[in-house]
Amino acid sequence: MTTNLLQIQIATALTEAGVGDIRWVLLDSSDGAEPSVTAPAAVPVAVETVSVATATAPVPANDAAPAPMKAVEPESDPHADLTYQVLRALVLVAALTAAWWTASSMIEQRGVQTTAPSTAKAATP
Amino acid sequence: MTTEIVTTSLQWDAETLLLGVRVHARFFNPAEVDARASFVERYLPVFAKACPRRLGDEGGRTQYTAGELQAQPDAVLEHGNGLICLTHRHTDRLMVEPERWSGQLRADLMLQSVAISMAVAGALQRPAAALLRLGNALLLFSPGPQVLECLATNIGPALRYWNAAKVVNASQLASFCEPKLRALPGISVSTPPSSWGGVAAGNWT
Repeated sequence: MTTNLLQIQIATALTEAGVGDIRWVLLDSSDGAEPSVTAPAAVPVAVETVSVATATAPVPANDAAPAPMKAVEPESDPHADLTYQVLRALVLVAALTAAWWTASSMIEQRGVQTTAPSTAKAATP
Repeated sequence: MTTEIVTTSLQWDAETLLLGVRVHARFFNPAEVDARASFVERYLPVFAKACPRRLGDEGGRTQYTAGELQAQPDAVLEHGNGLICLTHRHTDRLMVEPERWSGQLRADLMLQSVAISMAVAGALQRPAAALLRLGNALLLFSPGPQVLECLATNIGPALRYWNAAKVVNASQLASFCEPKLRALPGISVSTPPSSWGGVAAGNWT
């Protein structure tokens, strides 16, 4: 397994002559192998250094891993979409059924309530 | 024969520490500075003698890619042994008050400038400084180790978070990292401006 590390130098000071107080970090470059930039020792103006990743550190490889993401997405997408659509349709049907049942039962209840006083009123002289 | 290297430090009016980034500010009168002739005089009014050379043409903006980080800086200038990454479009109308500038400075803009300079530095393999030009202030960002580490190690997660195909841009990385930086212990403290150097309204460069 090869890791391609890209050296990044950030200047934190500015003078009339140029930049200074360089801090550097290493990025995992997955696009292309650039062996000339993998050596941190080649930093010409490094004054203050910050090591974020080393050649053996697994952190950048884990963080910047586009390949697994691309591999996973096409496999899982069709099934996940189908399951999601079926579940969505089931939930929708269940919700509509419940709403219809609730509405019909309430209408029935209200019908009993409205007829009762009228019949009671009619019964009184 | 010896070559004399002039390392005159620049005159900044104020500085503060925001989210692990030391920010130097130079305030100026926009009416006076905007009327200057050259690009450097207008957009980098902190320089007295130096004249950084702009890379690329005036109007066009070049895309720089470092690994999975991509940025399109407003201007890249060659300055001595390194580069200056200047962000000025869409921000040169933003004004800050010299008395409250550290509270008015947007952290996402600051982190975006740093991320842009990271992309440029990685693409060109040269040290780069991040500068942001506001309407009446020029800011130099000096990111601390935690900030650089946060930005560098979160490119992959930001890529996945934004569901980006191959690269994440500086703006996306900045907005992804801002809450992470705020959550870091001891980094969210913002020091009040300590050295104002007698800057007062109307007394700018």
